[in-house]
Amino acid sequence: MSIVLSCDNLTKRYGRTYALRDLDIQLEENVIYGLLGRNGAGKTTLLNLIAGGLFANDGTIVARGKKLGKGALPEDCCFVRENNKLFGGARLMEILQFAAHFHPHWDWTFAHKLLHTFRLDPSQKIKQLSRGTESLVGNIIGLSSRASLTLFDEPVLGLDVLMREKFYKELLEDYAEHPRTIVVSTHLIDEIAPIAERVYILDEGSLLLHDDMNQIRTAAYLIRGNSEAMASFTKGKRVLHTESYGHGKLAAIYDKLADEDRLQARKLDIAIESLSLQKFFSYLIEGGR
Amino acid sequence: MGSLAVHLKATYLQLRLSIGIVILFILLGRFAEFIVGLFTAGSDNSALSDGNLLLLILLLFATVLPLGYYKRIMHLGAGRNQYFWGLQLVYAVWAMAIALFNCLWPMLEEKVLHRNTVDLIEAFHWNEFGIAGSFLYQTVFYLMAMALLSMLVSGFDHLVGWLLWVLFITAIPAGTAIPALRTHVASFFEALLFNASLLEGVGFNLVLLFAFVAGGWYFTRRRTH
Repeated sequence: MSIVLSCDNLTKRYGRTYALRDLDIQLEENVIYGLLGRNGAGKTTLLNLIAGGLFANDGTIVARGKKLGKGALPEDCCFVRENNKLFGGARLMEILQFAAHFHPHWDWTFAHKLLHTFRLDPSQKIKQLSRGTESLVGNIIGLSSRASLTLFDEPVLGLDVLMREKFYKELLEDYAEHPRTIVVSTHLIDEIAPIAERVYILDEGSLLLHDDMNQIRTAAYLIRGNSEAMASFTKGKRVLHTESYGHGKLAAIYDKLADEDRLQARKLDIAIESLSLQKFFSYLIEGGR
Repeated sequence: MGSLAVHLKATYLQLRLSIGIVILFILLGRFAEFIVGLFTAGSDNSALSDGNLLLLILLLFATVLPLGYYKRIMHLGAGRNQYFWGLQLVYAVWAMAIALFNCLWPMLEEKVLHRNTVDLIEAFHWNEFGIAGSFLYQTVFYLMAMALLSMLVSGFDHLVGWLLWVLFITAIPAGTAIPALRTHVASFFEALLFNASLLEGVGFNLVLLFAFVAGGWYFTRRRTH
């Protein structure tokens, strides 16, 4: 698969504080990425650097083989910010018309469908919109732009569960018909699990993990059993977290379990459960310090 | 929607209220003048031409847009070059519109409304170049002034920008206070505003315009959003 965008040794400092430190990432063509991390992990900074809104102190960004100049926007890129600054006096349709002008693959049929799906009145003024509805406007722009590189920063902020589900459904359906590279940064980790094909997990400006979602699904487990059995079972495995209770122990592991591992677990009376992405993320972050 | 239409509409949406306030301010001034005129018969006080007052709109465009329009249009997907050159086009359209208005309105004031007004175009002798010449001189001068303001505002978060502010703020008082510099300052403004040659006046303004546009682009390339 071809690389749409790569960041090499990307560093961004605010004074003496590092927002990103020597970050290397590669975004492949036609993949949905989840960008995860705690508050202040550097997710928004990374997206802003990619979209040319901020300037890196060090490192390079290469988009489709072309090194981007300072602050340059990658070709055919749409960045939906967490807090898009819009023209308050404009009507929703006017905002979409402006956005359509800057995105060469804009699909008006899809934009109208999304307005209908999200029950938005195109004649409504932007200043009258709630926080959640503003997020929806950004999401309509992001989806209708059909940009070959689309970046969403916290796209479901302020949305109720119904609207969040509708957004994910529209994103997946449209992605199936029009594959492109999409990066979704979010705090709602379990919601991104069925959407993302790969995840980048950032912590304190550095890359903590980059993996396929399938790999995480098939390698992240919560196991419990008595302390001695657990010590024997987890030997040589990547343990993210352990917790003791009475004579027992609970551990989060990140390793593929072969049939013999499962057989051994049964013999040792160890229970194995799948780990949700949210829990995996928490244990990984906590284990990382 | 074409590029110019997008920028014209979006900037208008951003400044609609301010433009309305300027026009309302002019209308209120005229109304107050009318009321005062009712009680002071035969008054021959002359006020600044309404067309000249509309120049306030150009000042608003050049100061408010680099601050408020930049982030808004960038967040909709524009690149820095699309924002910057779009803004220059918007400046050009409005400068031409106000210049045209200032060519025609004084004639209407004099011949139809029979008002005695002070007109900057007459004060700078631009009317002596004919309507086309006056229009050209005004347009280029307005654009140059807008480019200067726009450049200074765009550089608000840049050290060089602040140095330029200091330079411009101190240049005129220092230039007029020091006798040796006074004649140079006077001849600079004479060449810029009161030039007897249309070609020289327009040319001088154009040179400054290009310099300020280049300065504006320098700061825009370094602005975050």
